[in-house]
Amino acid sequence: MLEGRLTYQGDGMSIALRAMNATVHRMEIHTDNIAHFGLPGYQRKTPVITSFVEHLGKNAIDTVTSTEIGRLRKSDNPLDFALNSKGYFQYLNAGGGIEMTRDGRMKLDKDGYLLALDGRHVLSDAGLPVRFSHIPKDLNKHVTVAPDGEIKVFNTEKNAMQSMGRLSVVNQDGSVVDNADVKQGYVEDSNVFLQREFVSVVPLRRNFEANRQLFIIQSDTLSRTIQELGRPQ
Amino acid sequence: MLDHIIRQAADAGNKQFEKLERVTTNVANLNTTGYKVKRFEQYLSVDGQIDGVERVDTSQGSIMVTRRELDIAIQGDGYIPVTQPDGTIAYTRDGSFSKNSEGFLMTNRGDLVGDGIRLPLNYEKLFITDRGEVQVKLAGKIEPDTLGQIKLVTFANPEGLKSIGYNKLVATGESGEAAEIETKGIRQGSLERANVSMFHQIDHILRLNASVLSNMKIVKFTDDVYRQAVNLRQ
Repeated sequence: MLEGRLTYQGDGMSIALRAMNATVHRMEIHTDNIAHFGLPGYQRKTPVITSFVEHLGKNAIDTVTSTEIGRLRKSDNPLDFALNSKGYFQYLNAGGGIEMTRDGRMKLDKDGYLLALDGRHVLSDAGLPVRFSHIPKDLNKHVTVAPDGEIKVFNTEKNAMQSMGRLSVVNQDGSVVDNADVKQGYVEDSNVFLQREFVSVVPLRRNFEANRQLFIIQSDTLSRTIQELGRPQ
Repeated sequence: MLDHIIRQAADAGNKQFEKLERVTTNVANLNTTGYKVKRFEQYLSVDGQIDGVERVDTSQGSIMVTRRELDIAIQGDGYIPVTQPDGTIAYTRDGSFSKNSEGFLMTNRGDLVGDGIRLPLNYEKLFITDRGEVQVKLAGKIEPDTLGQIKLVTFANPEGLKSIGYNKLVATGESGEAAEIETKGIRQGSLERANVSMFHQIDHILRLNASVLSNMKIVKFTDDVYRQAVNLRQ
């Protein structure tokens, strides 16, 4: 007969499993960043873990989006805009919803509408799609965008610059950014640093291995306990 | 979860390879007359996947002087309409022309320039003015005769033009209709070089290389973790 009390931490195995689960979720976030490395205007996400991870499982992981401004790259395209300040451009998607992104690569269609690369309309600060009243003769010389987002197009007939509205630059909550700095002819690269992502991923792999070893040890202990106890005396 | 990571990293790697393809096309056309840089721009689609579109940078290429009388370069906006052997119209900025056996002005793919400009057999000198008028000075005459005009056209959205190969473009619904323009930008005895910047292309290649390598490395990392997860009991 067994004397005293058998203490066995039955929770250990599930803690190890949950830790492995959380590790994989963190890897997923870093993979996301690496996959979007080449995407202009992409903002890297960082996993944040609360101390309740044991109780909450994978939901204890939250992401924080970094608002650091990426490197601005000269593109020489007069319809490429980069934000050298905080804020987002607003686009109208096909379903009528408004989307926000820092990706300011735009194009003109034949009707004079300013579009995103995939054809979404660009919104002005009045909340309407930006439309040029005439097609500029020479895109490279006749379109200027001021740092506050105001678009001016040269009218060759009137020999004057005409305003075509202002690009809407808003904060995440939808309020207008006061000191927006729109740069024409630039593209903002993603603010992902590959080396930083790998520095974060390598320990995650080891972390996973450690938790796996813990799981195996506890699993072995448990099965040995069952075998020893179950053996007829 | 793990397979999702692997799929995402592999997809991203593939997309970068696709972009590399466009970059190499640009590098290959470094010396093509009138070539315009193609850019493969990636964006995040609605479902969170990376998508890409091809864009054309229509900026001016540098002008190279050849001193050949049938070479023309376009300074500024515009495309030269050419009539293809099947009668359809295409547009090009490649102005290295020649004559065929009947004296017609041809592109080097055998298309008529404009709707046909015929040069006489004997002439002393050929002029192409900055407005595109083709003039020849015949022997014994003082004033040159005007034979025709190389007209230029523009489009509301030149990026919407479709490339059909051999440096030729055709109009589409997206580009709008061709509109004739008055130009003073035709330069005889010169060619427009490709607007490819080698430094930009190298910059792209280096970034793509880093991106592809990282994505592949992540696939390997995740695969290791995957294997360990599957063999959890060993």
